[in-house]
Amino acid sequence: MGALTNLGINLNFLITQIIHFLILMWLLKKFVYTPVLNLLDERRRRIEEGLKAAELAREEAARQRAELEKQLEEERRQAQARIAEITRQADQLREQILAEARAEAERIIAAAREEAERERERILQEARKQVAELALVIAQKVVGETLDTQKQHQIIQKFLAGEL
Amino acid sequence: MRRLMNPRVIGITLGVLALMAVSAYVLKVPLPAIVLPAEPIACIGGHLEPAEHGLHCASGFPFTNSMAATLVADLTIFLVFFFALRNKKLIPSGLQNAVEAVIEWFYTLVEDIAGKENARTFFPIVMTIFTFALFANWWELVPGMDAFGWIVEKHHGDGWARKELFAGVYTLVKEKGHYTLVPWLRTATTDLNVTIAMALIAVAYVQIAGVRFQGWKYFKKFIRPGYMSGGLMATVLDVFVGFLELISELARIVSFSFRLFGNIFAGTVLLFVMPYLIPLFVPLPFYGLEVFVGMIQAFVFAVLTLVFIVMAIISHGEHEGH
Repeated sequence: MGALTNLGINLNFLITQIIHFLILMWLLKKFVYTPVLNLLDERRRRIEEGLKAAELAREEAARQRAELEKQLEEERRQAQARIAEITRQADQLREQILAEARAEAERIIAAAREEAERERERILQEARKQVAELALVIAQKVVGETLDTQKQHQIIQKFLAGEL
Repeated sequence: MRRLMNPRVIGITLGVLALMAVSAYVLKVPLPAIVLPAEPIACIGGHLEPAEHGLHCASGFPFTNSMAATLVADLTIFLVFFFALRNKKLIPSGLQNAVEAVIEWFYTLVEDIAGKENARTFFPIVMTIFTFALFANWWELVPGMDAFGWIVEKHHGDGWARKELFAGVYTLVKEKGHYTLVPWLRTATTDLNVTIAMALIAVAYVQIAGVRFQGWKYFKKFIRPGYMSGGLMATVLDVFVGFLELISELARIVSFSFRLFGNIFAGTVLLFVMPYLIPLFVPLPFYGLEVFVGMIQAFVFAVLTLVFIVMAIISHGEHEGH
């Protein structure tokens, strides 16, 4: 036992220290480890929840975005279709109007031409008549006799008929 | 660097240096007596009497300086945890963060070694060993830790002379005399009673954990199961191996307690002697070393306990069966 005493080992001190350590361990467990570990668990749980919620929110946002984009695309497509349709209709209308105008113009031209033709005929007729009468007058003067009116008419008629 | 260079820090540094210089060159403080056993500084239910070396308490329960240091270590543990966990927040900051980081780091270590399902069971003893050893060890670094105490007259051997500083307050001076100092505080882990107590608890816990997880089968490692079947040589061998197992359990107590005690005691002596020899600047790296040693020894004690526990709860029979 002498060696132990020299090292300072003493049963009473040893027991005191054992009791001290057990009390310290109990106190630390009760007031430090359990609360802190619970807090750490709680925090881990919260962070996991937060991350999960954030992930869900991100997915939701992505989903909505995709949906919106789809809608937008659809609307754009519809608008384009409508524009195409309207353009087509406008073209058609233009063609139609043009065709109508052209037809109208042709009709007017044709009518004018006919009118002119008729006028020309009429003028020509008139001219022929006058030429014939003039020719008769000249002929009377030249011949010096007067043809009776009936004869005159016969001659003019013949002239006009192209028989003279 | 700019933070180190502010006037307050420079002032404190110069003040400390001046104090060191005064204590080293004006007061001529002698080398403290290096005493292996803890010394009583109070006597509960009796009287302190002068003894051959220091003081003696035969008539009551002696209250030693290492017990005082144990309580001081407890107090610092209490203060640190109190201020860290005073108002716990889910989003930690400052000291709470630091304390939680250490606890979580250790808890993860326990989980890694002992498995997730056993971590809660084994964590308290491992963490308490680490915490207490760390705080007790680091008290060795506090300057003046064992500089205050009773100045007592020695009946035998050489001591130092004492000098009255002012009303009833004495200091030892570097002259021959017959006085010695019994410090009020002595780093707790430099008392073998403390380290043996921790080692006994650790090894006892290992046995308890073994029995709890394996039942009475745990003791088969001391009394080998096959010792009657394999002939005389095998029986002798099994008995011998079982005996060795028993010895190794006892050796653990010794290695646990003397490793911690030896390292910290040596550190204390180093921190006695270095400032005594060269008071200025030179002791600094040794302080750094002792910060490291104090932490590593606490860690080694805790982790070895954990490893022994894990070795004890794993069934030997199952392993041989594979």
